[in-house]
Amino acid sequence: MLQQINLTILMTHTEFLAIVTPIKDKMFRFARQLLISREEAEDATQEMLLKLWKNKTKIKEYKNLEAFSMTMTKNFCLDKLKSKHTQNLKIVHNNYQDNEALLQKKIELNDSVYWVTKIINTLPKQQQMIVQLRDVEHYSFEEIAVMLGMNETAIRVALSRARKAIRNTLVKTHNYGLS
Amino acid sequence: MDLVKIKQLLEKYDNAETSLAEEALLKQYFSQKKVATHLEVYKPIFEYFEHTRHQKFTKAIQLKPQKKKAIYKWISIAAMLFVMVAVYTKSNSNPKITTIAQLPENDQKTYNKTKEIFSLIASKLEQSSKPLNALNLISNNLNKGVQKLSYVNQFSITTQKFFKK
Repeated sequence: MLQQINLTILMTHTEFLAIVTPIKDKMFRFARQLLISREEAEDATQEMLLKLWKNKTKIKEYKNLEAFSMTMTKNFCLDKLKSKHTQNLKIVHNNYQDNEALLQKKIELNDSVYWVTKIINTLPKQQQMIVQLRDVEHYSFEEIAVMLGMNETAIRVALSRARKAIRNTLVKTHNYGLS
Repeated sequence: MDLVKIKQLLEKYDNAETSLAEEALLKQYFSQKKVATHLEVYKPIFEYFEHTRHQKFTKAIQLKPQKKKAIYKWISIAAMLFVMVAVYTKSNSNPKITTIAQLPENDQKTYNKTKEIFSLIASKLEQSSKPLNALNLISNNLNKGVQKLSYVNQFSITTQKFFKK
């Protein structure tokens, strides 16, 4: 018992990084989906990692650190967006041009991927999050339910809506599948 | 993989009824270069998912809170205090000495010496301004002479008139 307590207290840098490394990219991608700008997503991820580090003594108590981290990221990003909406000047989020996406578009000449990004960004935030967690990160519905604090049925409904909306908009903008 | 199955899976996919394994199958199918024309609309969607999945958090992880801002704050406060103290001591030290008697002895000596030198210069100036008075007189006399000369001029003009006649 005593040994265990010592272990939790004496968690080192490297130990922490080992625990956090598999999650950090997911957190970053999730934050980026919500905040769009790469810099802001990086800042958010950094902040989340710092928060985890500060609570490192409790980390081992969390049953599912990954789900906990994702929930934390979600709350942080939504708060950030909300505070931006209340500001008079909406400079950062809405008018932000993501340079990297443009660059990537040029490099890969993959116009349609860029379009999908744009379409997904117009979806309601909740649908965006669900699509991100399911289709990009391959989480199960149970995990997503824990992360977003929703029930599975609601998640399925929202996901179905989102998937159909993406497909339909893509058909409209690109005249796909008119055969 | 046969198209019928893919189509069925896609239908389930749109209704969010597919399992993760089934979605993996779909992803695999759409990662091919060639897909059936009527299913092409799904290709960029799955490409996007795959593409997004490869984004990484590349920044170095900092586990110490950034204290830069706080440091700047304290520096500015210290600078302000310093300026305030400096101004205060300066403005306080000035009114302390109001008469020469309050100055330290050395300063008094130099003060007296300078005073002496200044008075010496002043007296010399006065002395040298006396010869200037003589010059003044001369210039006055010269002016008078010039006036007299004008009489002579007038005289010469009238004499010439006489000569002409």
